Amino acid sequence: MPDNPPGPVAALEQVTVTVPNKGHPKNILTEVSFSIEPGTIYALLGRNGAGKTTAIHVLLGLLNPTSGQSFAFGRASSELGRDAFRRIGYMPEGHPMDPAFSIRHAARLHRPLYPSWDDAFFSDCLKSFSLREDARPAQLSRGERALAALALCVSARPDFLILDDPTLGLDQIARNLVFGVVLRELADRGCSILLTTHDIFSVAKLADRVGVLRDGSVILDEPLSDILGAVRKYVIPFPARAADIPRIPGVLRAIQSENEWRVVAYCDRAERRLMEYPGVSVHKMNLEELFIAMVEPG
Amino acid sequence: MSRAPFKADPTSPTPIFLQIVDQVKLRVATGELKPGDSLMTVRELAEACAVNPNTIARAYRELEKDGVLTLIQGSGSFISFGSKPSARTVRRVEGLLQSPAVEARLAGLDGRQFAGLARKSFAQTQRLEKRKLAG
Repeated sequence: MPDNPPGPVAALEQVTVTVPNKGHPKNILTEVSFSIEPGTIYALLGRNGAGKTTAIHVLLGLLNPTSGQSFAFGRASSELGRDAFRRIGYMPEGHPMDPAFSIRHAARLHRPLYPSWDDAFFSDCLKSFSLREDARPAQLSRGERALAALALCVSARPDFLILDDPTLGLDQIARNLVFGVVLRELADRGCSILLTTHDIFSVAKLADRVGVLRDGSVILDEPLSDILGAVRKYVIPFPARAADIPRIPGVLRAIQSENEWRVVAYCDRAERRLMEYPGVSVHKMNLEELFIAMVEPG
Repeated sequence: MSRAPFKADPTSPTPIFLQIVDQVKLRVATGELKPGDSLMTVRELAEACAVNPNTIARAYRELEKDGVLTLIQGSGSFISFGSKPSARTVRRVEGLLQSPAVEARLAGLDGRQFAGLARKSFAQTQRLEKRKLAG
């Protein structure tokens, strides 16, 4: 095992990415901070276009932020060298594979790049996914392409796996295979994992920590085991002093519709004040309900 | 291991580590798990439930803090031999009783009637235990 500096495997600190937009510069990310601790799974959630992939590109040094800093393995992302990339397994969105190469050929191209490449592990992976080494991408289904891309990724035995929507468009069986591999990488080798996905219920079983991006800002960043007990939804009908609600300490989100406020808040800080509104009802949420309440438009 | 595995329900508002804690406690309360019985290792249970092993480790730590489990380095996790309930456990039970107590008051029951109902549910867990033993 190479030396690991203490602290997180990777982190974004106050990262802002601004793009020119016909004279009206637009923030893709706004002061985004989060970090991935060793031997844990961080799930980065958000609707399409929220900035998840951009955050990954910053973390890998593929994109320089307008301001803020980004690190991996204790080095600035913009200065990651070959030694760092050998330890990172990155599966980009959409499972791209070069159509010209069979799986076997792709593995042959990967092997010299990664000193820790494991041929036996790769063969086992393909076997457990029922994939043939001589298959070419054009002969594979979407799910099979994803599994082939994942096999190539994990057979380099990375210390840090970055999976950008690995189960996009996959059926339940293929999804379970993908997440099974993710769990085994963590359990067997203590691999650290950054995962983006829209499969919220899988996140509920997989993640140590959950981050939620909305319009380029982190609106939640908490340990999964604590957040479900700590946050509740409060529905307040026909509120009289509506304008106060978003300013109550502990309120994470407050959305006003025609006849009610829907409020997401930390119960220990906000519940006493919120319960003062007449007709208020309190709701526990599962992870999907929490996610929807945090990112729904309004 | 012949016992039915524990279940992790990702659609529940209860965090998965707590779901595991609650299921272990229920099985201890009903006698399905007895002092000295071993639980699966963190890894085995994580794999059986398809959940993050850190989550199972957290559940086991909570159970140890509550005096339900004893972790022995290198040997595994065992159901503890009847120790006195910890102050923490008593506080937890007290907290859990709060919402039924409010319901009882709203329904117009008095303290004696509520205590009677509580005794009855408590006795039911013992009957469950006997049925398990008989079956």
